[in-house]
Amino acid sequence: MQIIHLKLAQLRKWWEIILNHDPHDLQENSLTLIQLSTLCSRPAIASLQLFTPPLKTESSFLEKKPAFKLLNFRDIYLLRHWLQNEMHPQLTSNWAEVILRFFEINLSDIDKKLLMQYGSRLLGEVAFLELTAFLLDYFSYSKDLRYMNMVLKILDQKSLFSPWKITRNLRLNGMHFKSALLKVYLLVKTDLFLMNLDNGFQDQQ
Amino acid sequence: MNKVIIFSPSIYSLYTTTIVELLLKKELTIQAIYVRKLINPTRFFSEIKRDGMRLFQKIWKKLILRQKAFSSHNVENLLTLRKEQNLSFTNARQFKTKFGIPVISCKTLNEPVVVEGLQAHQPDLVVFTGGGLIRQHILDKAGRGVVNCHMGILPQFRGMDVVEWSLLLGLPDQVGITVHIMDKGVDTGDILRVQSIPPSPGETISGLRNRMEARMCSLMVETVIDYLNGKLDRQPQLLEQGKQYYKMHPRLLKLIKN
Repeated sequence: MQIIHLKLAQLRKWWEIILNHDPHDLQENSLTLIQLSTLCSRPAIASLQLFTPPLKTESSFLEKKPAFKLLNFRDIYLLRHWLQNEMHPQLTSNWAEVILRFFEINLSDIDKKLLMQYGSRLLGEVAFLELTAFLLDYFSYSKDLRYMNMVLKILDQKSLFSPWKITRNLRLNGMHFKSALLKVYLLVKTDLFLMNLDNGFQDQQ
Repeated sequence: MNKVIIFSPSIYSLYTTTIVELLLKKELTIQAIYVRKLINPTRFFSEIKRDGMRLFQKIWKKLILRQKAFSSHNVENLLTLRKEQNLSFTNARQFKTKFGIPVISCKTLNEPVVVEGLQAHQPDLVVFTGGGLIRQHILDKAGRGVVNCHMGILPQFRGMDVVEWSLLLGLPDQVGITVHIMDKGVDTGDILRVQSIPPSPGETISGLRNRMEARMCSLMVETVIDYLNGKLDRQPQLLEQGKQYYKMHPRLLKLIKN
């Protein structure tokens, strides 16, 4: 599997590109970057001014009954924000279950469904990656392996996670950059979790 | 006399023929066997979407190797059960030839032909031995319900690969089987009987699954008889006590196998 064979040199190259990128883009993607920096222990990134997700819509989102088709970008940011700050745990858990179920059932034609829901292929891809990051973070929080299982299936989509595409997009701006950043985040963090899981199982035995 | 209808995933299903023969031995009336057609592109694509490459392993084991898939005679499996019980039918059509039980082929088990059959026969129960999702309009016409045996302990482990999930989560005592009434959810219907089947030391996952398959036949037959005779009550599931599981990724499967 791709992540198992993730080359350290490739990772360092990506990291260099991320660090050398326009600070404006970095700010806009700070949610991901803070996590990346924690993961990779690079204090330079943590010193950047934080981008606060739009929380104004929180009250309306609280009233939504969890259903995948109702999720917009702000909701996704909110979910990730709640998870990071351990806010509304029950609601976050309900949404996580809904997203997991939707991905499990629709993974084979997810791109078509997201294209319809978010209006463009790129926006659909970023939403998909944000939600995948949410599932991975939810695994980290809940230790529920069903979420890691789903992320592994998503990372198996070789065309989405091609190193060439990630490197190219890290040199671009806007959503292309965000998409690549999320991919690096997912690959690195999943690899780390898998290492911990392997060690945990070896310890048990 | 109690009357039942059988739903089967294919005419070659050994699990189906074993259950039917065991039910006949208990002198139940089998009114008809509804069998899903094997050569059906829609079925193939939906199953490959669900099972991935594992579908080919399934085809190899269940349609090509069949009885030869159970090569070891020293362990409990479907073949040893069939020998022990002196069961000989390997094809659902043989029940038509020998007992005159109608065997009806259909693309899915939700087709009008199945509805008409249920209306005509008015069975006491439908025994589900595989064949995909069953819609509400079928469930409503199945007498006292559609009975299924799930390869997992309910309500804790709903869905797919639950044997593997129980082992991955370090809960070998929660490996087992459950006979339940089907409803519109996935493995969410009322429970009739549960049996724990913890793995034996050194047993492989496929060995364990084979052993469970044999136990499923016996438990299904005992439960059907007891349920029809009013000896069993339906126990509604407390869904919050369990989770729905999905197909396990090979990377996680490797953790158990190592």
